[in-house]
Amino acid sequence: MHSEPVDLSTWRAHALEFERQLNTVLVGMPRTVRLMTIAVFSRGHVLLEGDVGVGKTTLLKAVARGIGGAYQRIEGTVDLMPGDLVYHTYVGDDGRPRVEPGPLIAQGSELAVFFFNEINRARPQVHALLLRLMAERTVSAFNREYRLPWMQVFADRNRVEREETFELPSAARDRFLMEISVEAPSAREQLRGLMFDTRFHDADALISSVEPGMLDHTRLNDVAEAIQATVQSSPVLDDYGVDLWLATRQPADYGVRLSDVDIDQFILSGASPRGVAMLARAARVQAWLEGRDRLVPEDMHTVFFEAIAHRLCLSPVYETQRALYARPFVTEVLRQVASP
Amino acid sequence: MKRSSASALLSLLLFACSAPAAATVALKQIEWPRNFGYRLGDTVPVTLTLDVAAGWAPDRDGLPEPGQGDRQFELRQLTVRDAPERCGNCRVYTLEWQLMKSVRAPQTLRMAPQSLRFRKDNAVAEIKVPAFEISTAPLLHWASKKDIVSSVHPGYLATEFDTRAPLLRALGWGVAGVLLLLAGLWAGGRLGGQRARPFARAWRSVRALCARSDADALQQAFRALHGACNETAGATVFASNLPDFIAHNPAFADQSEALRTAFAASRACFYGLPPQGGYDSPAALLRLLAALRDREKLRAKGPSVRQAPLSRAA
Repeated sequence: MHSEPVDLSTWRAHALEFERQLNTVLVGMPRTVRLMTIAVFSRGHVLLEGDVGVGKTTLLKAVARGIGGAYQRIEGTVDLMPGDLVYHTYVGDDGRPRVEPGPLIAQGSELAVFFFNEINRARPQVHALLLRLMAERTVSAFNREYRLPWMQVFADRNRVEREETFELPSAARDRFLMEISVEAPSAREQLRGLMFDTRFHDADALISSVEPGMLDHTRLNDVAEAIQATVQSSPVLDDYGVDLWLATRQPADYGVRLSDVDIDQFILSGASPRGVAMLARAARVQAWLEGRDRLVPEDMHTVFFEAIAHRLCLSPVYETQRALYARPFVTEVLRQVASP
Repeated sequence: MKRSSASALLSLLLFACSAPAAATVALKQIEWPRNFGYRLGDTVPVTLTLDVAAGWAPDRDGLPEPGQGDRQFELRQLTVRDAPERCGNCRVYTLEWQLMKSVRAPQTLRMAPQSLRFRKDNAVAEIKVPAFEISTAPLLHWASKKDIVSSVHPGYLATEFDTRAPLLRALGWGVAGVLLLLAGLWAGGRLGGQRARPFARAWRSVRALCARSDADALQQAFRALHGACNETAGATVFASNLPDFIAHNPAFADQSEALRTAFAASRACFYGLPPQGGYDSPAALLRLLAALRDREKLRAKGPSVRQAPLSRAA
């Protein structure tokens, strides 16, 4: 930890430059980039969702390059076990077995970005390890505890294929600050660029355009705390936040309706207290990025879906169609809950 | 001798007093009343046809007194008439008894044997009237509630209440109550078409706040504006989606800039942002609400009504 004070205005300039450079790498995804920037300065873990080849890995590599520090990636498979994250074994040149640190602890505390690809292909034992890793940023191995103070977990869920997958338990989902959807741009001009502009064909070259280590990852925790201490809420906004929270738990009380849905049977449990705390945390970062030191409702709106939707437990009959109902429900909550 | 003659005279006197009257008053016929269907107060006539020799008359002192006996029956009257059509000395005596016992269930009552005494000078004769029975029933519940009094007291004409004055008073209070209710609904903006005019209601509530200049009054005024916008849109209108609100409600298009300024001032008021000029009191907001109210009214009347100039809307 650094002891020197944080100059938030300078850091805001760095953050906006970081965001600008990411937007040059990822065409037509300003909202996704903004949410990733918010996650970086909220120090929250992120669940990514998107089709194959839309740029999730490119986005993560660009973020990791901008943050600096170590980057590790692991692929979720059905035979992956928790030990595979902590160590790996092999037979050395001398024929003797060797045990080396795994991807989680290979770089020690320098690990800044840990990308878990297709997390739902991993077994629940791996999810359990990840749960502690995200909550405490520590892991036990080789008779000691490794601290990973600057680590951020980015995980990707495969939503297309269902065979040999293990859905994340709600407790693990709740540890993620946001679930961000990464979608290909829809504007025709941007699609033409992605298809024919050779700049986008070489992902590594594209990522190299991001200034490496432009955000000192060892200072990000201090900056995040400074943001949370500086950006203030107000009693009216506090009430609004509580109303939004309650509307996810008792939507009928707030006049939330969805066509063809029995709203009384829709929700099993709404957002958790940790979830709404993370919502407020992310909203403060959004206010800071917008140059304000006070929260307004729009800050909450910017991050509400990504911070809350993945925490909602729907009734089984609706859970299978989460993708169909989650966004309309969250949109309706924002429409119906009033604030000045 | 003198003593024996006195005793003989006394014996003769006693003999004369107690001499049988059968030769002088004879019972010819008894006409019994029907023995069913009586209720409290009904009369039970017993008609006796007697052959009464000349000079004999009923002994009024020998008739049953009211309240005597078992009090089930009391003698109401005794009427006497000659009946030469039956025999030469026949007289018809009608004893009219009245039933005085109220029963809770149908019951058979027995009238004890009675003696009817006749007197002629000092001579006394008695006619025995045998016992008889009748069945009686309790008074029934009145048959009609519309005529309660006459049903429990036949023949009684009740005096009707004069209900006109109380009815007029009640009508007056009722009309006053309805007027007050209508006035309250009008003031609350819940009367007829007012319900569809949230800006009119907001304007009225803010007008009531104009005398105040404190921060609380300003917050109430802003809340009224936001409430009217939300109600008009059917969803919450924030500063960020104000352009959408205007796009869906083009009648307010010329007020979009004023609305945007008001929303910015509202955010400053509620969320601690730097103060914005323009709307620092409820009175300032009243002008905007008056303009919105008038456009809302014009919109409700339909597109054929031309929009009036609103320079002096407030």
